[in-house]
Amino acid sequence: MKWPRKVEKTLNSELSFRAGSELRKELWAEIQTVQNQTRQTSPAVHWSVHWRHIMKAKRLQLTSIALIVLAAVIGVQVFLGLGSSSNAAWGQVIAEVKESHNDYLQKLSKAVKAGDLKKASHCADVLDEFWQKLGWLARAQSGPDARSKQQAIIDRVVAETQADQSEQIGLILFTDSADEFLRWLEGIKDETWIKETEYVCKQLEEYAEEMRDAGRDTDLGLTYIEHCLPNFLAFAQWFNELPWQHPEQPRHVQSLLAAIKRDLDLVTGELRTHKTPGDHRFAGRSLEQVQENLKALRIKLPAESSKVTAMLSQIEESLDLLRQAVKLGIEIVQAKHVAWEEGMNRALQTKTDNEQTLGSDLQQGIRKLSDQCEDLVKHLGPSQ
Amino acid sequence: MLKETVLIWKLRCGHPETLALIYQQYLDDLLTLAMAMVNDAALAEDIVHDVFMALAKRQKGFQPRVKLKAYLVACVMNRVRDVFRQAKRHQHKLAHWPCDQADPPAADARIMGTERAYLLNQALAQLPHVQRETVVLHIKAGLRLTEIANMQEVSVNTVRGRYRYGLKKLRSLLADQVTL
Repeated sequence: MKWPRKVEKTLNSELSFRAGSELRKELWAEIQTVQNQTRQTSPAVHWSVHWRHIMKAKRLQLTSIALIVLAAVIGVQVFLGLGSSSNAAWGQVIAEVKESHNDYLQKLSKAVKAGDLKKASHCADVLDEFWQKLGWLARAQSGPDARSKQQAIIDRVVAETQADQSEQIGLILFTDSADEFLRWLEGIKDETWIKETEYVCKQLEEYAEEMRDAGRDTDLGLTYIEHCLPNFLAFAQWFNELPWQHPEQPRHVQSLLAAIKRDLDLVTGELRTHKTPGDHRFAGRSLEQVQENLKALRIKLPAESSKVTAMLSQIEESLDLLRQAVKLGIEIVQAKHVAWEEGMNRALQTKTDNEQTLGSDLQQGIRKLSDQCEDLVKHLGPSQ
Repeated sequence: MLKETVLIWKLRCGHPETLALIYQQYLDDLLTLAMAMVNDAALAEDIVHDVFMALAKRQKGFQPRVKLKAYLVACVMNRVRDVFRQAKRHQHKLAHWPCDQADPPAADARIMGTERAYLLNQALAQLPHVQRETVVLHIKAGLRLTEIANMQEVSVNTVRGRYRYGLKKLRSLLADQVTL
């Protein structure tokens, strides 16, 4: 061994000091005192600014089609070798992912445009992981003993450090934002905002998951990702419109009605394709949310107005019918999938014969419900 | 990488056990670094104390741009520089510092090391400050020469030269005392 290496080796292995037990205890006691003092004075919440930076990018103001076209115009940048397991590439990926959630959204769009299912699936997996964990935090907030539940989520995240690469990137994205998100959640006074946040996160998670699976399942493919991406973007926009600046503000009737309209539009869109169990799942979840928002509406609207109460009852009735229809739709599509897999098409002939009727019934039901909501908006006027 | 990100996140969330974890993990490394730089147990203790105090105070908004260890190492080095600057202003207090210490302390000492560690430290203390800093940062803190160049705001070649001269001097200083 040459002498410089020997000197290096000697210093490295033998130059070492450690704190004695007395010093260790004293120092830690002082640190704890400072830590406790600091904990009592929590700094201002910067989540809104942070999130605006992430989500207010111009890309998100555009429709998904424009986004995809834009991505094509910019040109497909050299992809960072996400599939590679080499350390250098991995380090670069980590550095990249920290920049923002939008980078992955753009990469996803580019991958879709380039027809690269594998990359699209990878990017969607990152987004899925991010929204899933954020949704968990929101869901925990709506129940009792929120803090300990959220602590359990944090512990679970720590335990998930052995996840695959894309999941790890998603987790890093999450950890970058989670603390401010938690503080924002704690500032919310109106429970319906938490429900809304929870729902929006869930939808974003589910759309990302569908896009991820489309990349893995050759049956669905790129067209399905193209179908999911606009909805994902729409919900990202809804997430952006949560009350980041003033979490303490109550939710207005207009906001509830706008959310109901959004979900009915989504149900219409999903049932138009009427092809996969995923479509019906999204529709079902959206209708559940419509019901939640209707409940909130009932509380917020003046109970003394008999007309409003009657209109709400009509809407709830239509919703109930619609929910039953969607449930049936889910059963049919699921049965079809099972049949396809097991070769039992004939056994299901009766059920599928009814499918066309059911499709048009559903569309009619949604239209009726939308009209009733429109009437309610008109009746309430601009004052609400 | 993820574990460290999660650790920093938990620190920002104010989890009491996280700072304890960081403290347990890095205390000895930082003490070694500080000792190697100032060769004075009390001063090294103060430096590490200040670094952890600063971390405890600002943990809520804590968002280092580099890895946690690199961040803590930079903190120690900045603090060492402050100490040197202050010492220059009070030259009379410098008569015996930083090179004349290094007697291995008693068993109940607050900072403990082997006899060889004290010998090596004594030799390091005889290097010019920039050479000592370069050698310590590269060997003990694991920083690359380019990172040290950025930290010291000089070219990589200068750092390389400092490192080489530092090692050479160490070799001659240690030739009689330590088997290399």
